[in-house]
Amino acid sequence: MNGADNTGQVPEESRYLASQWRLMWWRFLDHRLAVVSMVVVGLLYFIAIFCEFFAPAAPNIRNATRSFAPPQRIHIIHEGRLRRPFVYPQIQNVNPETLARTYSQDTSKPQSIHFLVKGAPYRLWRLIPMDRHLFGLADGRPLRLLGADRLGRDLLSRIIYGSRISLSLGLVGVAVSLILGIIIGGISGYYGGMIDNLIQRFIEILRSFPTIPLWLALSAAMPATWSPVRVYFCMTLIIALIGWTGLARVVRGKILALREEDYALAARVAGVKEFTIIMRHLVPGFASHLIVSVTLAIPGMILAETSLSFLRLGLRPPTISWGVLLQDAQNINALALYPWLMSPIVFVIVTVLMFNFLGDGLRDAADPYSH
Amino acid sequence: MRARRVRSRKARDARVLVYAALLAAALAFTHAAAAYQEAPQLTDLVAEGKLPPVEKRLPENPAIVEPVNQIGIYGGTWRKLAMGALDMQLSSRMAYEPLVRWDRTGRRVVPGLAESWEIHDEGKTYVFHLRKGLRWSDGHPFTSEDFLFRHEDIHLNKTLTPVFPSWLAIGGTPCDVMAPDPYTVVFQFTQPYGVFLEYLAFRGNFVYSPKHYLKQFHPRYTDEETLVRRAKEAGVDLWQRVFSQRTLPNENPELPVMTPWKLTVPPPASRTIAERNPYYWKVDPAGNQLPYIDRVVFTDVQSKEILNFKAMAGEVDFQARRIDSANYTLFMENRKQGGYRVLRDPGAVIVVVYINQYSRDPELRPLLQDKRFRIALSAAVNRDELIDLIYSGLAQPSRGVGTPHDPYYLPEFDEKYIDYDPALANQLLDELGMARGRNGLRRLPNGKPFRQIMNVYPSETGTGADQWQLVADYWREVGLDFVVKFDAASLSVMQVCNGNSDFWAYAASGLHWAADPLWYVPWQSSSYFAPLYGRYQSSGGKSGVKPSPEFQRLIDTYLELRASVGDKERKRQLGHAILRQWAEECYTVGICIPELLAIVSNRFKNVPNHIIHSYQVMSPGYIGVEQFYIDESDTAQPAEAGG
Amino acid sequence: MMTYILRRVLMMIPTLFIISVISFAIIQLPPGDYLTTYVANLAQTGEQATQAEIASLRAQYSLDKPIYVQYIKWMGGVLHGDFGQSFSLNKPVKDLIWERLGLTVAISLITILFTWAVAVPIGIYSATHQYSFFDYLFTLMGFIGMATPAFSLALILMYISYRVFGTGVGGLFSEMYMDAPWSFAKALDLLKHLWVPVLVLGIGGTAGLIRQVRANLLDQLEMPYVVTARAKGLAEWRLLVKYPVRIAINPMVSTLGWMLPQLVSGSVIVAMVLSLPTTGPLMLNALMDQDMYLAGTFVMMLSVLTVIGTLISDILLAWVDPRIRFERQQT
Repeated sequence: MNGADNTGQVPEESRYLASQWRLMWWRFLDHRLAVVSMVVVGLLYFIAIFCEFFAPAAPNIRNATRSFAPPQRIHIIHEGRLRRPFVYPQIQNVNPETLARTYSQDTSKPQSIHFLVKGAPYRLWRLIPMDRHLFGLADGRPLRLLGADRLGRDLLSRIIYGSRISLSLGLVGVAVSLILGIIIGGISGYYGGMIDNLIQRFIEILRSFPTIPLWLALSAAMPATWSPVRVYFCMTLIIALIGWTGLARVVRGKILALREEDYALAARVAGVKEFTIIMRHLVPGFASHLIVSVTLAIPGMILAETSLSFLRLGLRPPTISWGVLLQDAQNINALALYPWLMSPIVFVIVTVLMFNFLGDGLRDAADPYSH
Repeated sequence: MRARRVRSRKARDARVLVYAALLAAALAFTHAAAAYQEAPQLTDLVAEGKLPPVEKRLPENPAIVEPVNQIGIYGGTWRKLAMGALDMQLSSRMAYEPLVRWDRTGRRVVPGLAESWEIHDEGKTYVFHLRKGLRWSDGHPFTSEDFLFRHEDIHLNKTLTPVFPSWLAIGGTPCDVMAPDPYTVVFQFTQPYGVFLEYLAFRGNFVYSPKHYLKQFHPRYTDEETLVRRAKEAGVDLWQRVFSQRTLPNENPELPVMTPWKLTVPPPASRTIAERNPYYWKVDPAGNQLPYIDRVVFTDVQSKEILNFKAMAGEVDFQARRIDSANYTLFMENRKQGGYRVLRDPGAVIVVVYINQYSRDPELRPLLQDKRFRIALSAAVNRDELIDLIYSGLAQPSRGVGTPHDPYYLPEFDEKYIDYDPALANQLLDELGMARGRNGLRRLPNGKPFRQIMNVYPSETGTGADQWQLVADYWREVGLDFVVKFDAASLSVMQVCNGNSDFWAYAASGLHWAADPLWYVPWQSSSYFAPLYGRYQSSGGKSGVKPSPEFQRLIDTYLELRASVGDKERKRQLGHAILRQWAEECYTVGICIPELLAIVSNRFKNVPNHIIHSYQVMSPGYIGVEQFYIDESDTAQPAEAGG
Repeated sequence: MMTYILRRVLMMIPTLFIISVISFAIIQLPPGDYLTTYVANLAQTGEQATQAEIASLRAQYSLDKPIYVQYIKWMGGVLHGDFGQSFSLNKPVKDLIWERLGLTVAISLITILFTWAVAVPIGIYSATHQYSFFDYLFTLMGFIGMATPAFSLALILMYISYRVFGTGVGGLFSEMYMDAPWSFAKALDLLKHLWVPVLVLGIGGTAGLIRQVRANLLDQLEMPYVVTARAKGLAEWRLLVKYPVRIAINPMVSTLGWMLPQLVSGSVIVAMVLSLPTTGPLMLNALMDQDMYLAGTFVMMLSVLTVIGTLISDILLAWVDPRIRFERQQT
C-alpha cells in the first residue's frame, strides 16, 4: 500500500472535494421524490429508535377476546355529530358451526383517541421508565388500528417494534459488506495480476456456494442458549457475508474499466500515488454506481431477513421483526380470513421503495455529467 | 333396507340398475360360491382369460366386511395428496392387513388374515389359523411360509434387520415362529405375553413377506454372483440395499401385496397410482369382491400449505393426513363450494411437555424429581385460554394421562391440577425455596438463576411456535424463565433419547399404550419422560440409570399386566394403577388433545361420522378402506352438516 | 483470447477441488448425520436401536469411516459419474436430480427470458424519458414487485389464480392433464399455471435489471461522445443502439454467467410455496434430512456451475467491453 500515508496531504484538494460533495447535495435537493424518500426513511428510523413511544401498546400483551380482531376504523362522526377521532369497541362473536370469529362494533360507546396518552409502562431503550405513548385510547385501553393476530396482540405495535430490528439489520449488514467490498474489490481491480487472481478465486469460492445450504449450516451452528441479541448479530453477519462479494465484484469491474481511462493514466504519469488514484480519482468515478448498489442492497437485506424467517432459519419469536411477523401471514388462513396479517408486507414494500428512490436521487446527484 | 335405499334414489343410471339386480341375486344365494361378484373390468379380464374367475381368486372363506352405511358400487378414483413417498402409507394406514385387527370401535381384536387363533402355555404360545386359499396380488398362494420367511430371513438376518423388533422379543429373547402346515402359524415366546394380540392388531402388517418374490434377492436362496449383478444394475453397492428397496410397498410396483390396491405408478411421479388388487380376499355381505374403488391416486405436493389449499378447493376425496386443524374455519366456509364435509374428532395424541425425570444436571435433578415443581408447572398453564387462542377451541384440556379412547382411561385422571391456578403454582414454587429475583424471575433453591431451554419438536402444524411461546409465557408469569428452542426434527428426538433435553415439548400417544408401553413406563430411551431409566430397562442394566423405586413400580406393574392373559379385570386394575400414578405424580405437563380433521368429499361414501385418528389403529385402516365407495351422482348435492 | 480462456480453465481445477471439500464439509456442519434422522424415525414408530445396532447401521451406510475417507470414496464415484445413493429416497442421486432437471431449467429459462424481455426495453425507455410519467410508473411497479417478499407474492398470486381464474392450486398441470400425452390443450393448461411462478420468479429480478439498464444508460447518455454524436445529427435511435445501450448492458451481460446455477436450482422458496416439482424442494429436504450424497451433490453441482458461470461472465465481459485488456491479467 504505497499511498497509505498521504491522506490529507494536500489541503487544496480536500477543499475541492468538499465543494464537490456540497454541489451534489444541492443537486440532490432538486430531486423532490428523493428528498421525500429521505424524509420518510429518516422518519422510519426515528420511529424505530423510539418504538416504545410510538407503539400504542406493548407488543406481547395477548388478549383472548381479541384473537384475529380486524383493524378498527377511525371515525369522526358519532350520532350525527362531529367529534375528535374515535373508535368503537369490538365485540367478539363466534360462529358455533364454523368457529369463525367475527367482530361487531358497539356503536353506543365511542372511544376517543388522544395524543401523548398514558398507557402501558415501558423502559425506553430498556433504561428510561416511561408510560406515555404518542397516541392511544384514554384509559390505556387497547387500540388496534391494524387489527390483531392470533393471540390478540396489536399488529401495529408489533410492526413498530419489529422495525427496530428489521431496519437496523439491513443497515449494519450493508455497512459491513460495503467496507469489505470496497477494500477487497478495489485492491483486486486496481492491482490486478496475482492479487486480483487470488481475490477473485476467493470470492468465486465464497460466492459459488448456494446460499440456502450456507444459511442452513450456519444457523444450525448457532447455539440454542444464545440471547436474541447475539442471534441477531450473527444473522447480520451471515447476511453480510453473502452481500459483500457482490459489491466487491462491482467495484473491481468498474475499476478495471476506469483504470484505463485517460484521467487515471494522466494521474499515474503525473506520479500520483496508487492509493490516491483509487480513492481520489477512481472511487468518485463509480460512486454513483456504488450508491445505487448500496441502496439496492439495504432493502435486499431486509428482504433476506424475511426469507430466512420463512425458511425458519432466521429470527424467531419472541424476537419481533418484520420477517417474524410475516411468518404468521404465510398461510391460506391469513390470505382468506385475516388479510390484515399481511400488513407488514406494506411496511417492507414502503421501506424498500423509499430506499430505492433515495438511492436514485443520490445517484443522479453524484453523477458528474448531469446538468 | 337396501330396497328402500334403491327406491329413495330417483335418478339412477343403468349400471346401478344392473347392480341392483345383481344384489337381488346375491340375496337369494348368499352362501353359494356363484354369488361372488367382481368389478366390471375384472369380469372383462376373466372373459379374456387373463384372470381366473372370482371364486378361484377368493379364499374358501373370504372375510366379510360389513359396510359402514350401505353396500357400495364399483368404480371411481380416490383422490389423495401426498408429500413424498412416505406419505402414501401403502404399508401402514392405507394397507392395514394384519393377522388380527381392531374392529371399528378400536377396542376389540377381531380376525384378519387369521380366521381364528388359540393361546396356549399361559400366553407363551399363540397359534393362528390362516384363511385357506388366500392369494398375493400376483395370484401366488399366501401361506405360513411367508411368516417364516419374514422371521428367519428378514428379522433374524443381522444385515437386513440390525434392530430386531422389540415387540417380538419379550424378555429380550426373540420369539420363535413355526409353520406346522401351510395354514397354521405359531408364535412362541419365552414369557407370557398378554398384549400380543393388541400388538398384532397394531403392527400385524409387519410379520409376513412374499417369500416367492423376495427370495430372488436374498442370499439364502440366490447365489452371490446374481445378487452382486443385481446391485450393480440398481446402482448400489450392497445386496441388502436392493433387498430393502424391493420390500417397500410405497416404491416397488412389483412387490406382491395383500392390500386392496397395489402400486402401479411408483413415485417419484406427479401422480402416484395404486390400482385394485384382483386377488383381494374380502367381500361385502352381498358377495361383492372388495374394494369398491378402482384406484387411489396420490397427487404429489411440495408443501403442507398447498396440500391444505388443495383440500380446501375440494381436490381430495378423503384425507386426514397433514390436514391442519388451524384451517377449520376455512374448510367449513368453503365446504359447499368444494363439495365436501369436514369431520372433526379428538385425536389420540396429547400435546405435552416432558420433564426429564433423570436430568443429567445434578443441580436441576432434585427439582425436576419434586412433584411440587411439576404440579406448579401444570397449574400455571391456562389451558382454556390456550385452546381458545391457539386451537380456536378445537381441542380438549388434558393432563397427558391417556385419552378417552384408551381402554385404561378414567375421567378422574384429567381432574387434578388441570385448572389454571397461578396462586397454587406460586405457592408451591415458594415452598420449594425458589425465591424471585429483582427482575421477578425465580432462582433455583441454591440461589443460581433458573433459565431453562424448552426444546420443541418442530410439529407439522403452524400452531407450534405460538403455542409453546404461550406456555413459556405462562411459566414466566409464575417466575420461571424458559427459552423456547426449535430443533431439527431428527436431532430433537435424538437429544431427548440421550437424556439431554430436560424440558421437551412434543406429544404422547394416549391410545393402546399398554401394547406400546414406552409412553407411560420407562421402557426404552424413547420413553421421553425418563430416557435414561428407559435405557437401563431396555439394555438390561448395561447402560442408562437404574430407575428409582417409584419408576421401578411402573415397570413391575406393567410387567404383570403384560403377563396376564385371561383375567381381564386384573389387567384393567393394573392399567389403571399405572395411569393413576401418572395422574398423581404429574410426570409430564399435559396441555390438550387437539381435534383432528378429515376432509370427505360428498361423493365419498361409507365413512363413519366419527374417526379415531391414531397410528395405533392405523386410521383410516381400522375402518376398512376397502369398503369406501364413490357415488358420482352425489357430487352436486349440498354439503351435509359436518359430523 | 484462447490462451486466456485456457488459463482460466486450468485455474478452475484447484478452485473446484476446494469447493468439493467445502461442499462436503458444509453438509457435515450441522450436528448429527443421516442416521440421527433414521433413528429418530425408528423411535417414532416405537422401535429402539441399541448402540451396537446403530454402529452396524453406520457401517452399512459407511458413516463410520473418518470424514476424509467418506470424501475420497464419494469423490472417486463422482469422477466416474456415480454420485452415490440417496439414503432417504433409496435411489441413485443422479436419477433423482435428472428427473427434475428438465422442468427446472425450462421454468428458469422462461423466467430469465421474461425478465430480460421486460426489463431492457423498459430500462431504455426510462433512461431516455427520465422523470416522465411512465418512467415513474415503471419504476414504481418494478420496485413494488421487487419489494414484495417472493413467498408472499407467490401465495397471493396463487390465491388470486384460484379465486379469479379457477385454476387448480399449485403444480404445473391440472389433474386431467398430468399423465396425458402432450397436446395443444395440455400446453395451454401449462401456460395457465406457469404464469404465476414465472411472474413471481421474474418480477424480483426485473426491477433490479430495469434500474441497472436505466442507471448505466443514463451514465452513458451524458458522456461527451454521445453529446458529440447527437450534435453531429445522428438519428436518436441509431445513436442509442450503436454505443450507449451496448455499454449500458455490459455490466448486466457479465451477470449472465451467474444465472447458470439459478437455472438448475430454480428458486427453492418459490418452488416450495407453489409446489413445483423442481429441484429446489428436493435439495431443501435433502439438506434437512442430512441425506449426505444427495445434498452434497446439489451443493457441489451448484457451486461448480457458479464457477463455470463466472468464467462465462468474464469472457462475456471481455467480449462486450474491449477496453478491458486481459493481457495485463496474464502477467
